[in-house]
Amino acid sequence: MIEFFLRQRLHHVARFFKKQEAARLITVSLFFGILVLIGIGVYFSLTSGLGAVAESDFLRIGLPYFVYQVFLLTVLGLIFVSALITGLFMLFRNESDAWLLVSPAYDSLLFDKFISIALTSIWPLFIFAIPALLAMQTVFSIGFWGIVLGLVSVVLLSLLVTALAVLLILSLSTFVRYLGSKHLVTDGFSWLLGLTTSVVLVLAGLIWLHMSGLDLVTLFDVSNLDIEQADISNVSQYFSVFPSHMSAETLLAIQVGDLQAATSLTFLLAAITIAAIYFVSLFSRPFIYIWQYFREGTFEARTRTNLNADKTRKPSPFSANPISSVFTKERISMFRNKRTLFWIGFLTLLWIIVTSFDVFIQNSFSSQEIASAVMVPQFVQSLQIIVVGYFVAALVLRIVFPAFSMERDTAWSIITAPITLSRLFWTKAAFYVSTIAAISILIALLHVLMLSESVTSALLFILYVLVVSITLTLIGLGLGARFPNFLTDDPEELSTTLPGFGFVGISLLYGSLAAYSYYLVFAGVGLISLMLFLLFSICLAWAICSIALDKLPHTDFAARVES
Amino acid sequence: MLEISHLTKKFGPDSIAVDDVSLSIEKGSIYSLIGPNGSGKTTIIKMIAGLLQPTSGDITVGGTKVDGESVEAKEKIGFIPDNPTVWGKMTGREFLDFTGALYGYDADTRQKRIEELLPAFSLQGVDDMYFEYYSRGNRQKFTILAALLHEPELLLIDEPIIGLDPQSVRILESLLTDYRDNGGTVLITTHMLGIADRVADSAGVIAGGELKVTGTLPELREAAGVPDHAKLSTIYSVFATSHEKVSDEA
Repeated sequence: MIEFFLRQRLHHVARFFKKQEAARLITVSLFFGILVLIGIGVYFSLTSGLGAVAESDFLRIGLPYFVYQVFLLTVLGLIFVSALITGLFMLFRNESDAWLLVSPAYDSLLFDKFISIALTSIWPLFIFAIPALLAMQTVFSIGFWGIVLGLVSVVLLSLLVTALAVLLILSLSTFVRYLGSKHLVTDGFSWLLGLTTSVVLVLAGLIWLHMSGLDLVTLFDVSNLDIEQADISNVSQYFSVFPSHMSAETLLAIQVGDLQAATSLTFLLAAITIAAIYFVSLFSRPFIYIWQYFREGTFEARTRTNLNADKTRKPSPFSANPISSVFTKERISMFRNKRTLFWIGFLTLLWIIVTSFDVFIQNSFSSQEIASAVMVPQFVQSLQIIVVGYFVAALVLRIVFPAFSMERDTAWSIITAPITLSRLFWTKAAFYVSTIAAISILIALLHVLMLSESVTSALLFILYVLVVSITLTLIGLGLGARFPNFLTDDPEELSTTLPGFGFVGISLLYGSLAAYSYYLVFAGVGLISLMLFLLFSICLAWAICSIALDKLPHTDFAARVES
Repeated sequence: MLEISHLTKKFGPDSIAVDDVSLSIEKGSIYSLIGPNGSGKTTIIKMIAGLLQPTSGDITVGGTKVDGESVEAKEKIGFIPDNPTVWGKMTGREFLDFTGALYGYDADTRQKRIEELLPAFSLQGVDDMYFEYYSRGNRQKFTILAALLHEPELLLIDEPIIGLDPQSVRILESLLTDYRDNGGTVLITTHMLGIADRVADSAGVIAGGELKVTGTLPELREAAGVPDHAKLSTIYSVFATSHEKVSDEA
């Protein structure tokens, strides 16, 4: 059965290329083209960064080692949380699993899910890992086997982290099912989500406590003028508690040409990964009982005499105005959807963590002479604008971009109602702009408070954040409406279509432009820079929304047309 | 009430789902469009509802032309889809409430209409459940009530009885005939001929995207050359497999 699943996945890819017309092949080519471009960007950034470091005898070993540790720890965190969110819903909320679970091969479902979760979670690694290893080859001449070992190591790490995430879900779900069997909990899935969130928050808190004392100057013992090469023992000790440590050690061994040590470390990591996957496989048979429990509804039947509904019923959340009713519908749909809320929570948490990095920057450089002219808060805030652009783009891509496509089977309810498509578009725009802008402003305030800036500077920063979040939300909604995809209602799948990648590309360029414009305000250009940026943002958002509004009346709102 | 003129829908250059269909439905009547799977029934009804855009041709509802932005036409239409999917995290009552709000009904009127409609299918007591917990039949019942809530002039129903138990089918038939008797117009597309036989005043047979024949049931029997008491299934079997189109109305 496992062989069947693997073969089926390969057939799926082969069938796509065999049957697709030229237009879709071009789409696939463009998709890979964008990935290659991102990879080239990573390659050249790392080549220039590592190249500069390689010329310094003091930092040649220590700084790249620190970068490997931080990079792999970040990737580990992203894959872990991504696998948790994907896994929770893929394991218990997939409508098409029943056919397999009623068959004699029911115990193969968990493996198939594990492969799906791993593939969904680790593919971004290839965009970063392969060009990063090629950059190492260029700068440190690590050789072909060095690249292979490095790649194997990071792939193993990804599989290990995915297995740990799936193990956590399975362990917690077994526990919740046990509580449910004792009638200690109802609505088991909500409990599972709550417990998983609590574990992630506790882990994040522990990591934060561990990392908050991080200080590059102390870590490398910069003040000690007697040493010729930065000491890596502090770094090694600091990161040894994380599963990513072994891969970072492997990359360091590859960098210094010690392939024997790298091979040993890779074998050790492989053994640990296989052990973790073995533990996952132990759940193959019991999984059906867990699945059954989490598929149960929570509705309790009542007698009519118990209802008293008319007397106690809450007032209607909808007004008599179709536009505000659609706004309320969007709010209800979003805030009752646990999967969406999880993604918002995950991305917001990451955003706050990255924003909190400002504290680290201040800790590391504020008291040192190396704080140069470029390390003024405005420069940090310019970088923060790029961060804002990135996270707003991530939120928009996951939540706003699929807004029209996700209506799919529910579109009939709104499209057949007496509301024009342009009003529908602007109502959705109002809802998403207010939601995304609210999150952005809250984090911007947090950032401003951390940097303790002047009121003028703080207000300007918040204004830029507001403009970036509004513009990117409108661009995302516009592109999603212009290129709706009614073949799937899976937001993750929708985000990885060509228009989705187009949105990412536009967002990265726009975010960089916003950061540059912000920096220019303080570099002598003044408010002209702000005005030009505002004008550009309005024109860009207007152009994309206009294109979407022109297309909407000609859109076929139907997923399937059978008879 | 409903005029369709030379309606064509292509999905790509080589795929013609609906081919030059013209038909007319009188106010206060029930028209049944019957045909096999893939014949173009759903495509036609979705174009009337505004979910699909015609490649060519015109649709007029109560004198108002239907297109993507036609609010006036949409106010006259109630639509019941073949796939009764609604946002899973919305309760049945909220869905009815939302539908009423979309048509501009104030909260008190909506509440009154919902209380009137829920007993039709005995849905009181389950109306506060989330849609994702409903059976297909209950979902279908809520979409039927939602379509009736704003008292439309034209009711479009795509495969009306899938998932409904026999008692609910009888209730639906009774609702439709009452609605027709009160001046409403109904277009039903189906390949389940029982309901069409029992409630339809006129019918059309569609196959391969072409409307093979249209007319009242006596006219269709005559065109098919079958006895006066022949069921719709007999008429259907004559025209659905025929490669010829009966010119004009039967």
